[in-house]
Formats: sequence, structure tokens, C-alpha cells
Amino acid sequence: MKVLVPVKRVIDYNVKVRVKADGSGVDLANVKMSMNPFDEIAVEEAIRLKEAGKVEEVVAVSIGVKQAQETLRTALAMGADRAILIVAADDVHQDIEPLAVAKLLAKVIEEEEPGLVLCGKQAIDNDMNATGQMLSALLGWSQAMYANKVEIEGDHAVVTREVDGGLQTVKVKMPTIISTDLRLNEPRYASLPNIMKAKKKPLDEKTAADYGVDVAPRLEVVKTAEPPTRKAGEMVGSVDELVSKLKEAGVV
Amino acid sequence: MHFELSEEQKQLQSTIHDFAQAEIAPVAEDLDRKGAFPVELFQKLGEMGVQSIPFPEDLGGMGLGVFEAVLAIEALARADQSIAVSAMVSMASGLTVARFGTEEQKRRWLPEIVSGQKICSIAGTEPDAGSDTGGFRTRATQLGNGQWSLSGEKAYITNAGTPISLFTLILAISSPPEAERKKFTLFLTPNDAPGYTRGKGYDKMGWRSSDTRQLYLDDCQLGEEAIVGELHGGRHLLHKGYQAARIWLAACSLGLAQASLDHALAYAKERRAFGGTLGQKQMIQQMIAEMALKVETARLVTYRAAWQIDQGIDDIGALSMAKLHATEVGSEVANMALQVHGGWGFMNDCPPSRYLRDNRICTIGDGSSQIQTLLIARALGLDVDFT
Ligand SMILES: Cc1cc2nc3c(=O)[nH]c(=O)nc-3n(C[C@H](O)[C@H](O)[C@H](O)COP(=O)(O)OP(=O)(O)OC[C@H]3O[C@@H](n4cnc5c(N)ncnc54)[C@H](O)[C@@H]3O)c2cc1C
Ligand SMILES: Cc1cc2nc3c(=O)[nH]c(=O)nc-3n(C[C@H](O)[C@H](O)[C@H](O)COP(=O)(O)OP(=O)(O)OC[C@H]3O[C@@H](n4cnc5c(N)ncnc54)[C@H](O)[C@@H]3O)c2cc1C
Repeated sequence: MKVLVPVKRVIDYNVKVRVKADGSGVDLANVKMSMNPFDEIAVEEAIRLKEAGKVEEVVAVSIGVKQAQETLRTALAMGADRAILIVAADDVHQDIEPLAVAKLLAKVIEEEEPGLVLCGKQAIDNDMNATGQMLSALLGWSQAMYANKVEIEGDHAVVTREVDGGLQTVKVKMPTIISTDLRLNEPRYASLPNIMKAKKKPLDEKTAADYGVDVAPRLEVVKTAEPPTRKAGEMVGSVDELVSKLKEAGVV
Repeated sequence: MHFELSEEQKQLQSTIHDFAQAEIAPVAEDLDRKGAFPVELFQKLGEMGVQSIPFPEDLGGMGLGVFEAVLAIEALARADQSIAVSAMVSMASGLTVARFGTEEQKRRWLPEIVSGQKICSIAGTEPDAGSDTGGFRTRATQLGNGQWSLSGEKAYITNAGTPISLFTLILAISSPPEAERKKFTLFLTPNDAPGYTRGKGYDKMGWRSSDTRQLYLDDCQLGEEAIVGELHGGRHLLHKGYQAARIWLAACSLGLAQASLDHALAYAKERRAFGGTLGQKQMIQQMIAEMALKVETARLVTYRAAWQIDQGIDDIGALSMAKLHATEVGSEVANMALQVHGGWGFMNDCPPSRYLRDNRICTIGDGSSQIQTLLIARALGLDVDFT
């Protein structure tokens, strides 16, 4: 079986995000970019399935700007076998919306015929949480979102999902789409020799036009704003002072 | 001339940096307190491939240079100098075997060193002589049966007594007692060689999770196959073969100096005093700017000297400058960072206080600052006398 893992290039989760002065979005100039952490979990899961002998090939796909090549190299260094880059934008600030991504993935899936798609439950940049679900609808495949545990049993996948109030186990027919939650696994660090070897693994470069998919945005971003800054606290010298301050504020 | 790292080098650097910050920095304080060598963490570095960087590919290494190893060691030391030094001593000792050892020695002893699952060491220093390598007394006596018998003591030896220590390269006098000039040979001494024992670890002010011990040799019998490099060529091996350690020690201080700057800068932006942040005070700004300048100059001399080694340029002066400058800068910048932290800086849980303790040995070990200064003077053509 072949597994397809879509990976997105996003602002590194350690970076303190700044909003552009004109409110049109987030500043990406000279900002460290990394693989979306949920996608890292998906790559890890795919590699573990391969190591367990359940999967023969892991193919990583990224859709976005040319620089997403680095993200794919990371997936290859972790253990993916080959990669497909679909260049869909020149400007790093242009986000490709979930529907366009899902349509492109559907085309890739037509060609590649994987038995399983493992994707992150959401990208940490705009938290859409939609691509996997849309892809399932476009293909008419089963889906199991927010996986906490994945087991392949013949032509079915048994997936434990994180839902409100606990865990739910579902059995879905393959081919299927599984999205990863945070606790599914702990992704490995790519070793230095594997990083070097990753450069020699195949990376196909395509464009959105090659697949005839229109990636023009359908959503209009009205405004992007920083979260309100927290006001500085006030130090008090004694319990009495605290009580009188609280009374002043009208909370007691 | 250009100063840009290659894509490959940047990737190597950032991979180790990310790993070190996520997996090592958070446990560094605890390791320091416990003072025990972290076997698992060291082997994890091995799985990442860190120790394999400078070894040739036919030995399982990555076939990269001393310079790439500098980048790795710097990134490790930015999280914890103790583990960086343990790794670099093993790499430098192993590299001495890789460069000068026999095929048999390489095949038998190096794979686990290259993969970072075992650790090795080199022993020159003795209780009565350190800088004065001519004053070493450990003696190797040739027995009739082609065997050698080693007797003597070694002091302050890194990596020899961990649960994963594999061998130590021991420097011993191999010329007969009556010889006019002492000659030394380097013996690869397996940890389980009869007559070779290790004392208990020293109680140190820094490098607390790096293993340091006294070694005892009491009629430790080794065959010809234990000799690394030429018979009587041991001092040359210690100075030339083990040369990488000197630049890697500079990298240990460089990473630590950078970490000191990182902490001081973050604290200055956060700590409030006199109606603003510390970072808004000109005197603090001056200190931080000075720290950054010191770190940058240390980086430049270290990188250049490492690059020269990889180019095959033999420049003892540049090597000594890097070792001297970077290690001194490590202590200066750690001390300044501590000062920026005020009273908290004096506490053991404030990282710069640990950095100051850790770096203290760097200006002493592997050719002290005084010895490096003399070597620079000699490289400049002055008549420096080491006798
Ligand atoms: C934690 C730790 C780990 C170590 N690991 C190792 C190891 O793995 N292998 C190993 O072989 N050694 C190791 N050493 C030993 C270290 O290399 C020596 O301590 C160092 O070489 C200095 O030697 P010494 O201690 O005998 O000092 P000395 O040589 O006695 O020097 C004392 C002082 O005199 C100065 N001095 C000496 N000679 C001169 C001179 N001619 N002119 C001016 N000043 C001079 C020195 O700079 C120093 O300040 C380690 C030491 C420590 C503390
Ligand atoms: C072991 C120990 C014992 C102590 N004992 C006592 C005690 O018995 N009684 C007591 O009251 N206190 C005591 N202290 C506290 C000590 O006096 C303070 O740590 C010291 O006054 C510095 O204050 P701070 O730690 O808040 O540092 P900060 O005031 O935050 O200063 C941090 C750094 O910024 C510098 N700095 C601050 N303001 C400026 C400025 N305007 N311009 C330029 N630089 C500036 C400082 O010089 C310092 O380097 C003790 C501290 C220790 C560590």
C-alpha cells in the first residue's frame, strides 16, 4: 500500500507572530518557517506504518510556494520515499485555501492511487481544519478525523479519535483519509545522514496549472489584528490593600 | 572570500540547534546538579549522527570536516557545554585513530564511536605534569614477548569511566630509562585491559555531567596492535592528531558565550528597573553590545581556524588564537551575563551561573591560555622556550 501525506509550510510554532502594519495579514519577512506540526505527526505515522511492514511507500505532497521544497526535504529526511511539490503561488503571503488544496490532492490521488491519506487535522497558521474533510467529500472516501491511534487491519483502518469528552473508536473502509491529532505520536528528529540522503530522493515539481485547478482565493480577509495586549498588573503590599483594590474595582 | 554557510551546513546547524534546545537545554540544569554522565542523551546524539560528522564514509561517518563538527559542537554547547565536551573529546580521540591507526584498529574500535553508542578518551595529563608534557612519567616497558607493560597514573581524564567507555588512548614513555631523550607512544587501551583501572569521578565546579577520572596503570600488558601511529611518535600524535579537540573546545566556549548572550538579552528586555526595562539603560545596552561583539569575534577566529584545518593549512598560530580567544570570551561573556541578571545571576538555577562554572576549565584544559599565548608568540617568530 502507498500512503500520501500532504505537508504544509507554516510559520514555525516557536515564532512570535507579528501582524503587518496595514492589517492585511501576518508578517512573513525573515520569519522561520517549518513543517506544520500536525503534518509532522502524519509523516511520522506513515513512516511507522512502513517500518511495521503495513505500507510500501510514503509519498509527501506540498502545495504552496517554491520554498515548500524545504518542507518536503524535511519529510524525506524523516523517511518519506519521494515528494511532489505543486507550486501554486509566487507570493509567500498568498495562502492556498482548503478547497483548492483538496482539489489538487484529489488530482494527485487519481494519479498515485494511494490506499491511505494521512494529513494533519489543521495547519497552525490559519486553523481551517477543513482540507481532509473536503478531500473525503470530493473523492467519496471514508474519513476518520483527529486520530489518536491508527491500526490497519486488512482493508480497514481502526482509528481511535479524540472527541469531546473522551475517545471514540471507529472502523473505516480503505481507501480512507485520516487526520492526525496531537497525541498520535511523537515525531522523530531526522538524523544528519538522513538529511543528506534526502537530497538524493526524488522530488517532482508541478504547478497548479498542470492539474487544471483554479487556486484563486474565494475568501476575502477583511482584517487581521493582534490579540489585545494584557494590561500590566499592579503589585499590592498587603492583604488589606488587595481587598480595598478589589472593592474599588467592584469585584467583591 | 565569502562568509556564507552552504545550504547543507545551515541545515546541519539548525537541525542540531533545534534538537539541543528541545531535548538538552531543558535538562542541563538537572544534569549539572546530579553530576552523572547522561548515557541515553549521548546515544541519542549518536542516533542523530552528531558524532559521525567528521569521520570518513567508509568508517560509517558523514565524511564532513572539522568545520561542520564545529557547527554541531557550538549548537550543542549553546544548550549544555558538558555534553558538548563529552561528544567532542570522543570525536577527537576517535579521529586520532581514524587518521593514524591501523586498518585493524579502525575496524575493531571505531564503528561504535562513530555511531555514538560508545565513547572514548585520550590521556596525557598526569598528577605531576599537565602543560609540561615532557614531564609525564607513565612508562611503557617492552617485554621479551613483544608485549608492552604500562605503569603510571593519569589525571583529570574525560570520558574514561562512563558505562559506555570503550577505550582510552594512553600516552606513555616508550624509550628506555637510560635514553637521552624521552620518547612517547600512544597506546589504545581497552577499558577491560587487565591492570588498567579508573578512580572515582572528581567533584568538579563545572562540566559536572561530563565524566572525569584519574586512571591507574599497574603492569597493564598490551600487544603491538595497541600502538597507534608510529612507535615513539606519541607526542606528535597528541599535538597534531588530537588538534581538532583544540578547535572544538573553542566551539564549546563559543556556543556557551552565545547562550550567555541569549539569556542576557532576553532578561534585559523583560526585567524592569527605574521606570523601564534594563535593556533601556545605556550601561546595559553597552554591556550587551560588547558581549555580542565578543561572541562574533570568537566565532570568526574559530570558524576560520577550523576551515584552515579542513583546507590542509597548517597554521598553529591561528589555531592557538581561536582556542585562546574563544575560551576567554566564554568566561567574559558568561560573567557579564551573570552581572545583567543581578542577584538572580548568583543563583545556581540561573543558567549564566552554570555557564561561568562550566567554561572555567576551557581556558586551562588542552593547552592553557598561557600556553596558547606562548604558541602564538612562537608562531610569530619569537624564541619561545618550553623547557
Ligand atoms: C575537567 C577536566 C577535564 C580534563 N580532561 C582531560 C583529558 O581528557 N585528557 C587529558 O590529557 N587531560 C585532561 N585534562 C587536563 C588538562 O588538560 C590540564 O589540566 C591542563 O593541560 C593543565 O595542566 P595542569 O593541570 O597540570 O596545570 P599546570 O601545567 O601545572 O599549569 C598550572 C598553571 O601554570 C601555567 N603554566 C604552565 N606552564 C607554563 C609556562 N611555561 N609558562 C607560563 N605559564 C605556564 C598554566 O597556564 C596554568 O595556569 C582535564 C582537566 C580537567 C580539569
Ligand atoms: C547572596 C545574596 C545575598 C543578599 N543579601 C541581601 C540582604 O541581606 N539584604 C538585601 O536587601 N538584599 C540582599 N541581596 C540582594 C542584592 O542586594 C541585590 O541582588 C542587588 O541589589 C541587585 O538587585 P537585583 O538583584 O534586583 O538586580 P537588578 O536591580 O535587577 O539589576 C540587574 C542588573 O542591572 C543593573 N542595573 C540596574 N539598574 C541599572 C541602571 N539604572 N543603570 C545601569 N545598570 C543598572 C545592575 O547593576 C545589575 O547588573 C542579596 C543578594 C544575594 C545574591
